[in-house]
Amino acid sequence: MQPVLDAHFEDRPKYEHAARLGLWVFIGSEVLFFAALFTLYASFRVLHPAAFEEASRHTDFAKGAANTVVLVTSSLAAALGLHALQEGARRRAAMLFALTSALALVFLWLKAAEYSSHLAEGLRPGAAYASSELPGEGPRIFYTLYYLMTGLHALHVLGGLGAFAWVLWMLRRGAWNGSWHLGVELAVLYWHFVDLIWLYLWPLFYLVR
Amino acid sequence: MAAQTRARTYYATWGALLVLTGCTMAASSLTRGRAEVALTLLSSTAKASLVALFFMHLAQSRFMLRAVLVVAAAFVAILVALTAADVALRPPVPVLQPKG
Repeated sequence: MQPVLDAHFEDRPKYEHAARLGLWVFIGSEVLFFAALFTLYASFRVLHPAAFEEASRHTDFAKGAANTVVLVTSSLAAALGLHALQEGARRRAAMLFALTSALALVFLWLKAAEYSSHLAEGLRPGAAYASSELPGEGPRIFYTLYYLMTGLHALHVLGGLGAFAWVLWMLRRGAWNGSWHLGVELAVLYWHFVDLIWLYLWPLFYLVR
Repeated sequence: MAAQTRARTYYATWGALLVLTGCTMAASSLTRGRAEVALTLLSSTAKASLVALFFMHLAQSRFMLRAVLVVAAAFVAILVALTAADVALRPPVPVLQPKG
């Protein structure tokens, strides 16, 4: 434990418990954040059922499915990385966290490719919506929600990339080992949450058609 | 975290997630409309539960933490379902016209 923390916590388990609880509270606030958007989606879907079905036929089914496999696999790499570190295998842990980061980059690359092809087709958010193939209010709302929700999720993926860059940097400096790796555990927990949100975004925007 | 999860558990979770992803796609191409919404969301919840239980170690967490999360998920479901039901079932609002 860092000396500065000694004054605040009686022992390390109490410190670890507080830190873990703190991350779960953060995840709870993130759930609220996304729940509001899922509510908005459900309400607009009820108002424009046919338009939402038609619009979700125009999202990129293959890229959506590929991204699901990519994120689920990155979660596995993160979980195995933490497992390796718990067993003291720091090199193996670093390689697995590098794999997690690489998969996060693949996810963002596929997402960017999707955005650019949609933007070129006029499937843009809000007032900028200009698709002649999918005219009307319903598809415009669908694509506005699509950019808002997947964009917000992509920002979380970027945040995860930052967290794993920090994890890798600290691992290199030798800050963590088999018995002390709380920061890594929290980064991995956050990453699984980012994966979990995508598991709901995927059917709503790519599948239900 | 109390006990340490074995690597085999992580691989099994990942395998189950991939199988469920395939099932979701099959369900989505075989069904339409409400059945499709229900089936794909059910499958998402199954996957999310696997991620929470094994990747996020909820299966071995304290009872209180699990209780908090289950209750939170239930309230999110209530928020989404009741708001959507309100929008779906509310009669059209009459437009008020100024008199005269």
